[in-house]
Amino acid sequence: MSETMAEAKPIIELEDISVTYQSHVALNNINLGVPAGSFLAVVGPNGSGKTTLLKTILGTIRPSRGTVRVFGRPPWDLGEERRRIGYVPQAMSVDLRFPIRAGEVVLMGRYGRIGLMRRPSSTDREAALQAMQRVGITDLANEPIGRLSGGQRQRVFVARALANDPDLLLLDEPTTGVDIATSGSFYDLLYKLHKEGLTVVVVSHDMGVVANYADTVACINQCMVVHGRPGEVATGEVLACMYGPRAAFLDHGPIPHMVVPEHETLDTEKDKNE
Amino acid sequence: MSDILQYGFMQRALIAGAVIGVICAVVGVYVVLRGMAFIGAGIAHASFGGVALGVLLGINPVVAALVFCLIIAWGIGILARKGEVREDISIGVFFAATMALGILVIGLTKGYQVDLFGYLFGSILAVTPQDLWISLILGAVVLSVVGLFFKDLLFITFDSEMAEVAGLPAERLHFVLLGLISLTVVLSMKVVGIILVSALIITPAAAAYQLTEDFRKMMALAVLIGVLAATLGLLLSYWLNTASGATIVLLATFFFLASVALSPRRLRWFFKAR
Ligand SMILES: Nc1ncnc2c1ncn2[C@@H]1O[C@H](COP(=O)(O)OP(=O)(O)OP(=O)(O)O)[C@@H](O)[C@H]1O
Ligand SMILES: [Mg+2]
Repeated sequence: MSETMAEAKPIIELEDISVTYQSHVALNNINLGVPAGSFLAVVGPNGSGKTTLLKTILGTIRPSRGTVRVFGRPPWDLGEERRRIGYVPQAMSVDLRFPIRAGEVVLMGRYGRIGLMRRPSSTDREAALQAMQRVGITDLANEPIGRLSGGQRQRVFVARALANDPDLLLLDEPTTGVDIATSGSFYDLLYKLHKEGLTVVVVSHDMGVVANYADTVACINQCMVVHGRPGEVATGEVLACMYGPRAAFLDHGPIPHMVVPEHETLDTEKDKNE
Repeated sequence: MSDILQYGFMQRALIAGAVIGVICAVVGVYVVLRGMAFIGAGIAHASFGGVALGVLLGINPVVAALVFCLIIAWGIGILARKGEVREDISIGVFFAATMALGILVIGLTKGYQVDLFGYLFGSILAVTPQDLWISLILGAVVLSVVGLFFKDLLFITFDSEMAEVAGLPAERLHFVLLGLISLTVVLSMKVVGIILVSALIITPAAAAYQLTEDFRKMMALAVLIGVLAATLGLLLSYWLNTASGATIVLLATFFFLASVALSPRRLRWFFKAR
């Protein structure tokens, strides 16, 4: 697919999306187009609707207003093409003491495509193995998930998403609770997958991700606050979106500092882009 | 030993006990890992209302209990699905309501001399050839369903949300599981008793959970513990002239405590702590 073709037809199209839970408005009037091959970072404070946005793209939540199209169709109506979307949910959604090995978790990525009642074939096992190779965890296949480190576990869940050979990968705060070095190598891996042709949408609280890896950033807080290239949108505006408007920014030297009211503690992130 | 096996009722009780040990353990693995212990107890108590209604209407109490349990289990599931009533709340309500209904109905059938006490607490003498057949048939149904949907039930148990995203009918599989719990309760009722059956579902699986970090091994160990507890418990109850259900459950509890003491996880933690 040529660059212009990709530009012409976004693989995710959200038009005037609103999502309400009972009476609570989670997303309001969101417009977003994601071209094939891009790396989008979604940022916003807690409860701003980031997870809701991903679930809307997945089709597990239906918007109360507006249209969603993924690969040109409503995501709940994708049929066989559903496997083209890989999803890494926000951590803590699974029981870490569950008696299951990493290899089996990765193979689960294929279960939907295999279908009810049928058993995994050698093709499925091969695909799971390749996914593990891509994220570098083949040696962990027999480890129970409870014994993996946070970073290793995230790779297992990415491998599970990759086992279906998706074209679009949605990740929800994949490096929460992971140390900075591990987080860095995790994003290096994502970047590698992105360079291999995968479209990546990642929810993150990490300013370094926005600056160093993403080619587009979307700040949401119910509504779309800012949307554009990281170099072009105002850093202050992005930070204000992430940490709240009352955070004050002290711009001295190559590292932007910020002062946050009350007792919140925050990691300041290195901004290599200056 | 050989002398007691000459009795037809003892042979039937032991075969039924072994079947119950297997089925309770297999279903118990899902119940334990999905955190459905409370709903297991709720369905078990609902069966009492079914038994009493069966006696009143002149229907086979086991069949009546099965129909009643399925209605209650799926009813709770439907209420919870619409988000109208939280699952634990509707279980709490029906738990007591079905017991109350049973007690009321017994009052109406006072003239009847049916051993309802046997249904509540289990009895070795109670297993008729017809009961044994019912247990064998229901047991075969449970095992076939688990065998057919093995990977799918594993998926929804481990990560229901991802199963749904992958296009598997997670909700319908949850209803399958509720149906399996109902079948298990009903086929165990005569030997273990309504009051204690949920313990026989939970305890062997909980014991196996302490001993392994592999799903299939957990199921195999649970079956081993369940069969040992059920058959040895029956023999003990014969020799000691104690209630069969109580003896089986206390033996299972002993296995559980032993496995907690011997748990490799705990031992690892213990030696690490030194
Ligand atoms: N199932 C639900 N029912 C009702 N309200 C919900 C539900 N899920 C989310 N919400 C509400 O919708 C809003 C957006 O939630 P969402 O999970 O999308 O936020 P988020 O940006 O992902 O937050 P976080 O950074 O904490 O993950 C929140 O106010 C939340 O309380
Ligand atoms: Mg979220």
